[in-house]
Amino acid sequence: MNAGSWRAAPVLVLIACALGTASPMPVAGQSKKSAKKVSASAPVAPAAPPKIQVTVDSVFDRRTTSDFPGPELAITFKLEGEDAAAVLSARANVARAVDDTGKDLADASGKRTMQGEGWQQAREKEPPTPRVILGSPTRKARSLTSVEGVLETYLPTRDPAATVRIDRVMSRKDKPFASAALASQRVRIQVLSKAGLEKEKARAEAAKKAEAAKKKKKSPKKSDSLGMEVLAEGMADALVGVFERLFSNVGENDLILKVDDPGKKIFSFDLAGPDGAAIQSYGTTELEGYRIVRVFEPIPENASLHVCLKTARSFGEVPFSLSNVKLP
Amino acid sequence: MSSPGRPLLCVSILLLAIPLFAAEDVKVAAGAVEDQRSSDGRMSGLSIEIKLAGGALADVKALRARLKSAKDDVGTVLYKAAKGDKPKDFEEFSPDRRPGPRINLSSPSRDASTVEASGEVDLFIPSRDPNTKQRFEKFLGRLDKPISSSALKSAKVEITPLSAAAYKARQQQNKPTKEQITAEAKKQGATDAEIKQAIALVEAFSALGGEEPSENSVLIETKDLDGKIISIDLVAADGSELKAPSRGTSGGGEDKLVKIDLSEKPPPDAALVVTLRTAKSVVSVPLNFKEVALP
Repeated sequence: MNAGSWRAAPVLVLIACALGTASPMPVAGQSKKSAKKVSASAPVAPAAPPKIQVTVDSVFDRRTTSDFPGPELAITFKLEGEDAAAVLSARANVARAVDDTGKDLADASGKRTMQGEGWQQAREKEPPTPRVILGSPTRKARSLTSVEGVLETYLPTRDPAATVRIDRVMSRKDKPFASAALASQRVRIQVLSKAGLEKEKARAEAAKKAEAAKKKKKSPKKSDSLGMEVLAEGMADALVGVFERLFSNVGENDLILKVDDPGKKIFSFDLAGPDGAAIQSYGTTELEGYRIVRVFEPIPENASLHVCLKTARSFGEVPFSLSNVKLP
Repeated sequence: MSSPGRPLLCVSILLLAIPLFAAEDVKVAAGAVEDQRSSDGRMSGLSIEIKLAGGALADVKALRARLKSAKDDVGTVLYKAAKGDKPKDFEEFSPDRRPGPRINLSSPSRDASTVEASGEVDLFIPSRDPNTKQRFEKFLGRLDKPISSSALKSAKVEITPLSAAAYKARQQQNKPTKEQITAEAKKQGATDAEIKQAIALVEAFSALGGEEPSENSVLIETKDLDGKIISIDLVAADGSELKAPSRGTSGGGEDKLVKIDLSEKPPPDAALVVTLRTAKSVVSVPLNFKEVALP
């Protein structure tokens, strides 16, 4: 590393800390030693495939001469069988779909238009109804001779470690949660108050100003250090931008979470009232290291946050193969 | 041999004839075609965009299509007028509007390759009749009473500027009850879950539209038997437009509640400008779609 990049390094570290990537959030009541112990999670054997049958719920064929939105075939699947009711979320991936004229429609199936990468949540005690978007069949086609793929399911009830419950979440603002279960997945979560978010924003702006001042002092620049400085300045700008977007995005009742999840273990967040009943949310927005859990009404002080984690046992794959799917 | 006065006469006739020719110069063609097909019958149907071209298009401010017939090339009837069907309301139009106006038909057969449709497009061209615009001065001083006007009366239109209290009372009065929603949904064969969803949806929409009127709001009730109202606007005493960043309409059919939210409190001498469709202001042009290829 040359002298120029050493000078830039502290700024990068500062930005990285603010982003929550370089410096781990301390978990209250947990020593560094114990954190190290639980972080080494032992490999867990995946559970047996869930007992689920995949059938077609409905088919929607949008045929159009327009380019936007363009033509497509959407298939909504129905989940049945012993484990269907336990599926909290599911998504279908179609590898092959052929109409009766021989046209393969699966080429376009990689595109998922649903939020959350195609994961469909269970609603009102009914299993989820995952949907796939395929290419448009030929007009003269009457059916799909073959639809083959894999259904991915999330069944948190199959693994107690898949759900971490944090009680009285609203009274824990601006303090990291102490949770061995989260730490074992190298997940750190902190609820931010509006004031806490302001502080984080102020910190990011201070870093940006410091970077600008530093840049002003130095002249002329050496060409080899220029790249690092531009990068640092860009990162500082980006971070301030994240906060600006956060502020413009956060609704009055929303829950703001600062999340560090390097292993991408978090599946979803749910809120529940003191009686365990779900608090209705209209989605979670992901913004860099932050999540905004959208809720319609103020969250009660004694509400709990359920962090759903991806564990080997809570996931199951169900291959499916359907034939003679009638086209509408 | 022609007389010296003859060319002048010809020019005069030509000048008189221009507005008429220009209005009817509008050509109607089929644009984008969308055939939505669903296994459960929901959201199914064929729509064809109406593409208009011609010199007089800039003067067209609203339109509506009146269909006579439509079928596909295997004989499926795609449009059948029901007894007692009223013509559609006019929809606002501008040449750069995207997507353009559409006609909505039933689903054609999967075996069909083309469709045809015939009817007329009614074009509202206010420049053809100065009586399309009716201006009512200082209407804010006469709340909760219908505006007295012979022009409105002959168009079978009633317009009542409302106070906030009267507006809220009308809103409450017009809100469908759970029983009414359930009865209507059952008539259409909805399931219990769908009825529950419909009730929740109505509640949600009521909450959205239920935003309290502010001091910037102008509140109006309209009764319009034949769909003659094209638009309602507000102007200052000097005729300058009062900007309305948002407006909402609730109710359907003949009776509507209109809430126009201005960017600032309306001056007491503000005037209401009601644009009405008159016989002279409407020109009908034929709609004749032949061999429109199905996607």
